[in-house]
Amino acid sequence: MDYVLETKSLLKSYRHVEALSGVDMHVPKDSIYGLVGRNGAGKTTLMRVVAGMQKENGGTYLLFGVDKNSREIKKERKRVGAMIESPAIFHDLSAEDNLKMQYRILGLPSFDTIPEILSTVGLENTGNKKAGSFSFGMKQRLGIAMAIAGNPDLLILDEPINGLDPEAIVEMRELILRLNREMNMTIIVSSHILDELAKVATYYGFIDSGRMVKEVSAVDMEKECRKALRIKVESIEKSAIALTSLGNDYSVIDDNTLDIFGDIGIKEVLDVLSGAGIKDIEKRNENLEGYFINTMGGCV
Amino acid sequence: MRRLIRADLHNLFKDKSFLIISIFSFLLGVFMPLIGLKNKIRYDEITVFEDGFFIFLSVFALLIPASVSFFVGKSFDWGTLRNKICVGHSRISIYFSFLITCLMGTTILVALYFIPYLILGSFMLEAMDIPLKAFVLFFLSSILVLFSLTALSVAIVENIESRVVSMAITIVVVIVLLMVGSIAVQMLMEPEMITNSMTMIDGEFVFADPYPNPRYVKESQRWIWELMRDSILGGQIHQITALECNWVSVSLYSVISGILCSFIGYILFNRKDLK
Repeated sequence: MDYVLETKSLLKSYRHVEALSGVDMHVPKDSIYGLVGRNGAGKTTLMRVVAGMQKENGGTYLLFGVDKNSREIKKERKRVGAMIESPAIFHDLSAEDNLKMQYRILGLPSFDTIPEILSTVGLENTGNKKAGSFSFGMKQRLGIAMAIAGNPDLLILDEPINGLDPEAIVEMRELILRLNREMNMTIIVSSHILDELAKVATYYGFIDSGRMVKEVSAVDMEKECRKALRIKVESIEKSAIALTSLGNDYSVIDDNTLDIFGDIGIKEVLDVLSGAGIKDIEKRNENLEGYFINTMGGCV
Repeated sequence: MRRLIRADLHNLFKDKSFLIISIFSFLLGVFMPLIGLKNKIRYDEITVFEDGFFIFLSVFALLIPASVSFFVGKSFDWGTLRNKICVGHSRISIYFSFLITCLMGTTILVALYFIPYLILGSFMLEAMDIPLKAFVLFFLSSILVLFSLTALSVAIVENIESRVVSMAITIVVVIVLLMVGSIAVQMLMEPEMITNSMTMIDGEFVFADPYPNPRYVKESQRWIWELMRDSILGGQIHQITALECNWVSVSLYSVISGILCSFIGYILFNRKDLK
């Protein structure tokens, strides 16, 4: 498989805190790679290191097959665009002037493609309005416009839908899909909103405590996702005792909810959990959230 | 680096704080000769061209750190520095393109002060008392002092993420340097003997015998104070404004401190984790 980014035992620590403890990551070409992890798991640090903003303490990474310590890396970096944490934009400039600034930084010969980029991110009608007065969603889209100036092959987006309203989330999702499908960009995207991530990602990396716990394609994950019955009960303890004694595979979601995996019928559940006070039963297929919980243990 | 300098210069010319400081510099260049003219008309006081000209140094000593903090600091504040790094520009290019842009900015500010002063001063003020060559050397020394100050400001601002904090620190550092330099000048001006003190004898004031000045800096320590006077901002500005400086040593120390600040600033910036 062709990888646009590979990290090998990447280490990064801040004073006494180890943020990355040997991360091995593989981002396939043309994928939308969903980076999933709890707060403080190391997602943003990993992105910062790969984007060159921070220096790793050990390990290495390859961008488009070129080692970061190679002289050629400078050339490969031009093929990368990134929006990490907040959108990196000049608040005192219009959207067009912001892009002109980025074009100058990139050394692009003309500004001809700026209208096209503004149209791609839906900011073509902002005129001379200063970016400082944009809504948060518009700032995010301008941040992406800055990142895609120069038509990069790899786009890194850290929490691009954080703080967006539902309408803006849909627009962002469509934009990510469009960039991937129409402009052939490989995209690494991290998000806490796993349902949203599940709608775009074709590949996943689960990171926890600075380690890559698992990497899986969306297709394989779907195969691995198990069918489950989600049961709401009055007593989670009684349910747990009953299910454990019978050897059922289950997972506790919260104080009143649990998932029972495998081909178990509703009648059988009613029998097993008769003393636990069943309030509700729902048939469900495990989704990204469930998969994440089972892979990492705990909640997002 | 040429690309970055081009982008930074475009950014500088669109920067409101730089525009305001530029207008202020220009108005200062207009205002100073007008004060000389007013003194001539009202008090019949003769003001020669160089009187008051070098006051701009004290004003610029505070304006330049503020301008650098606004301009460079916003790259940190708004995260736009990341855009340069992500697309492969090296830290050395980023650091020195900012430095070169800020040095250009300083040159523009000096020019905006100098040109109106030169034009208006030629008509409104008396001819120079000092030789033209000396004036030019003092002026060039002033520019080097301001370049050194610019390098110091860039070194501080490029290593502190918050624009407000970096501005506060830069201005405090400059004020401390101004004070230390002035103290050095004052210390070196202390006479070896106090000769003009008076004492009262039998109800009459009489001159006391000369006695050693306890604040006089002895030969063994004098070179340290002289070094401080010549190398620290406050001492340099004091000497140039008073038109009493060894322009060679002031220029040399300015160049050395500018290079040193840039070197240390870059080393720290290169090791810095950016957010």
